[in-house]
Amino acid sequence: MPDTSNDLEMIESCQLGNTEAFSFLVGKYKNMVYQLALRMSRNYHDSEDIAQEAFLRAYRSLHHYNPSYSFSSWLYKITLNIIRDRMRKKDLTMHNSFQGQQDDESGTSLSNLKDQSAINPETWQVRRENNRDLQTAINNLSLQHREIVVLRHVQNLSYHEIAGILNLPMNSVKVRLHRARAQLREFFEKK
Amino acid sequence: MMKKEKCSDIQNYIQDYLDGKLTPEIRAEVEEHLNSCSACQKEYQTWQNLFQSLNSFPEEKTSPDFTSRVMQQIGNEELVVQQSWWEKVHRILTLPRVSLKWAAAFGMVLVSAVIGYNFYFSPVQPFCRNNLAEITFTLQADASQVKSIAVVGDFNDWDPDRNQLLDENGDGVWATTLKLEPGRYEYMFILDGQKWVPDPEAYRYVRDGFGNKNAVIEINGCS
Repeated sequence: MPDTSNDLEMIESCQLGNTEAFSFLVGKYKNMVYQLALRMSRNYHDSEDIAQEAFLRAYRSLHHYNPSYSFSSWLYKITLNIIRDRMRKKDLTMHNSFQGQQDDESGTSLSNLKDQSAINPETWQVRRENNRDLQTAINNLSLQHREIVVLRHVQNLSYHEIAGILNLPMNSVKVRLHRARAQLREFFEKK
Repeated sequence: MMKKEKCSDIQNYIQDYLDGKLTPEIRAEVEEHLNSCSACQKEYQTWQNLFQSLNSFPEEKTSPDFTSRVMQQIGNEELVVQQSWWEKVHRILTLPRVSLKWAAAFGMVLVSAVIGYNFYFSPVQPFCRNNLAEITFTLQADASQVKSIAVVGDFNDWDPDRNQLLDENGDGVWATTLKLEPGRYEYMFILDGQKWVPDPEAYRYVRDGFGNKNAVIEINGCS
């Protein structure tokens, strides 16, 4: 987690018209935002585009930034909103096998997937390209489940931070995360 | 029998265990059970492997010119705010096709421009009713020089016939109030149906791709 002590100072400097202060913030958080976009969208080109859009939106609404959130949490929120918008408009080439399914809290199984390589659950022979398989598995989660798995395991955020970003009570974070992981496990165990 | 029940309890704790979310007491209980139960150990191993895979994504980085590209886009969107008052006068007087007539009309406008720029980045606090913000657009112009002022923008399809500003008491302050849904709008004023003028009191500007700047207003929801 980057050191956040300078962020407020930079933001205030920006608000007083010092645009260069914003480039400091971009440099500091660009990989974090990009990583989130990449794991959510699976596409390198889209991801940089999303990350740029996130910083632009942040810059445009800097005067609305509420310091009770960390700047990184705020960026995460903005990025997720962009991704959700694009999903709705189907701008992204995002693989979503649950067409029209809004709320995956019921934990539907992934049994309708075809051509997915199965991992032997007994020995867990995860191959060298396990990232690709894992990414495939994550892409087959619902948007909500995908978000929470990425925030927890790729971005390494605490339950508390995730709750703030997703606007959820802590208990819901835990429940949703557990279900998302159960879905992933089911995916890997299916033959 | 006791062990079976315990197994399902323990297995329910495994994710929390791997997440580091268990109290020390329950953690110890889980560890003790795992030491002696191969079924639960297997279950634990399965979850542990999943967690390890999930935690093993490589760190990805943006392309090296990412920051400069973002800053360039920001630069394209924003015009320099902190111009001196004199630079603003000079710029407007040296615009092509600016006649003395317009310069006179602008005389009043520049005074308010200086005040407007000092409040750059102040948020707009709209008055709201039924989730529509009431926004008053004003422009100072000498009535003997200007016959009509329209405001055109994203909110009225840039149609110069839709929203006119009026100077009802002849004091040189032209105004109209529109009801807008929260959102981001670019807009301009048009004087006498032909002269496009950016709002000097806007908080933000965007280049319109034709060498002019549009004013931008952002209404961020009614609270």
